[in-house]
Amino acid sequence: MIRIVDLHKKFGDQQVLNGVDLEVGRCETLVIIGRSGCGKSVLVKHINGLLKPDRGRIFVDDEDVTLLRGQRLFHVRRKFGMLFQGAALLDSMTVGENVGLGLRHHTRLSEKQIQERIREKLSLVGLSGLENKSPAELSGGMKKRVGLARAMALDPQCIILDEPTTGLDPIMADVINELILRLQKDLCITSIAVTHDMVSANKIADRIAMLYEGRIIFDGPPEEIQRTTDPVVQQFIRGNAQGPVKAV
Amino acid sequence: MANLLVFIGRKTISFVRDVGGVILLLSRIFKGLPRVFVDIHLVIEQMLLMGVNSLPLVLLTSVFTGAVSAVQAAYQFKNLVPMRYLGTAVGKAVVIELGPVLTALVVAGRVGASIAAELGTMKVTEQIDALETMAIDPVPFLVTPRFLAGLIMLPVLTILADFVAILGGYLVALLFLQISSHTFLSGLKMFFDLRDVLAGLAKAFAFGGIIAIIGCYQGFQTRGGAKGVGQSTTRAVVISSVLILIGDYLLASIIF
Repeated sequence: MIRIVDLHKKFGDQQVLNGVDLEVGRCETLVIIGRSGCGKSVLVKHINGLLKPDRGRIFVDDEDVTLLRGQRLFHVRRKFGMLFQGAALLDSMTVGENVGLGLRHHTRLSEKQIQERIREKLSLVGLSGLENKSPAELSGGMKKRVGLARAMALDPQCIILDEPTTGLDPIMADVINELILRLQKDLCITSIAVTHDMVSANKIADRIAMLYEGRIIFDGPPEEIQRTTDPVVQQFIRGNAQGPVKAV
Repeated sequence: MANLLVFIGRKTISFVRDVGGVILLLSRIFKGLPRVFVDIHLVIEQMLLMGVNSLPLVLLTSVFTGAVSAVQAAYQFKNLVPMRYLGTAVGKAVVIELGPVLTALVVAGRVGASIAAELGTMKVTEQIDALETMAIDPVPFLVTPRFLAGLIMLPVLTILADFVAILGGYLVALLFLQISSHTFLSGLKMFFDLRDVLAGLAKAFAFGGIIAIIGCYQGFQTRGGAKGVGQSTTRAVVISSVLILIGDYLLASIIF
C-alpha cells in the first residue's frame, strides 16, 4: 500500500532523513522504533503529505504523494487517520465535535448517524459518555484516546500512530494495543506506529523497522529483532546505556 | 559594511516572502469562498467574537475620542471660529478619521492579537496539521470565516463608534463648554455629507480585512512554542497597526 523510496529531509544543517527505503503492505502493522529526535515523526508525516521531502518518493497505492497538491492530496489523505504525539485535539471544540469533525466535513450522514458514530468510536477507546467534555478537562492519556477515536472516525484504510501508548498506564496501553490488533484483524486496517515502547512494539507489530542516523538499519518481524546481532539495535531494544550509541 | 548588506538583504527577502505569503493566503481565501455557505456558522461565530465582544472596548474608546475632540476643537476655535462650527468639526473628524482609524487600532490590539495567538497555538500544537490529515483545508475552515467577519464587523463597529463619539462630543459641549444643544446639532448638520460617512466605512472595510489577514498569516507562520506564539501576536498587532495608518493615508488620498 505504501512505498517509500530514498527519502531525504534536512532541517537547517541537520540531515534528519538520509535515504529511507520502506514498504508497508495492506493490513500490515509496521512499528517504527528509534531514539528520541531521530526523525520517526518526520518520516511518518511525509506519508500523508504533511511534510515535503527534499528528495525521494512516497507512493500510496502507486500514487506519488510528493507530487500531489490541493484536492488530489486531500483525496489521498482521506485514506489515512493520524494520531499525533500530543493528540492535537482542537481545543475550541468538545470531544464529540473533535471526533465528528471529519464526518461533518466529508460525509452526508444525518446528525443522528454522526452522533451514533461518535459514541461508537469513543466506546472503542473506553471513553463513552465524554462527548460534551472539553479537551482541557481530559488527562494526557484520555486526550490520546480521543485522538485515536478521531483518527478512526472516517474508517480510514491506514492509521498512522505517533507514540500511541506514551502517557498511558500499562492497562490502558494494552487496551490500545488490543484495539490496534483488532483494527488489523477485523477491518484490515494498515497501521504504522512510531513508538519507544518495546512491549507495545512486540505485541502489535508484524514488522519492526529501526531508524538510526536517517536510515532504516533493521526491518523485520519482532522475533527476528531479538536475534539480530546489530549492536545498535541490540542496545536500543535492551535499553542499555552502554554500547555504540552514546547517550549524549 | 558587509554585515549591513547581509542585514538589508535578509530583511528584503523576508519582506518579499511575507508579501507573497499574504497574497497567496488571500487567493486561497477567495478559492475557499463557496465553502463559507456550508460553514456559515463559523462566520457568525467569528462575527460574535470580533464584533459583539469588542463592542464595550470600542464604545468606551469612542466616547472619550468624541469628548476630547470637542474639547480640543473648542480650544482651537476660541476667539477665532464661531462655536456653531464645533459640531461640524467633531462630526467630520469622527466620521472621516477618528471613528474608523481608532476603532481599527483598538480591534487590531484586541482581535488581531487574539487571532494570531489562537492560530499560532493551533500551529505549534499540531492542531492545524490535524485538520490537514483529516483532509480539511485549514484556510476555508479557519481563515475565511475570520476574514469575512473582519470585513463585515469593522464597518458595523465603526458606525456605532461614530455615533457614540459624536454623542461624547455633544455631551462635553453641553455640560462643560456651555454650548447649547441647538448650536452643536445645527453645526453637525450644516456640513453633513453622506459621502464622508461612506468614505469612513470604506476605510473600516479595508482595515477589517487587514486585521484579519495579518492575524491569520502571522498565526500560520508561528514556529516554536509559547515564545513563538508571543512573537507572532506582537508582530500581528504591530504590522496591522502600521498598515492601518498607511492604508488610511492611501485611502484618504484616493477618496478625497
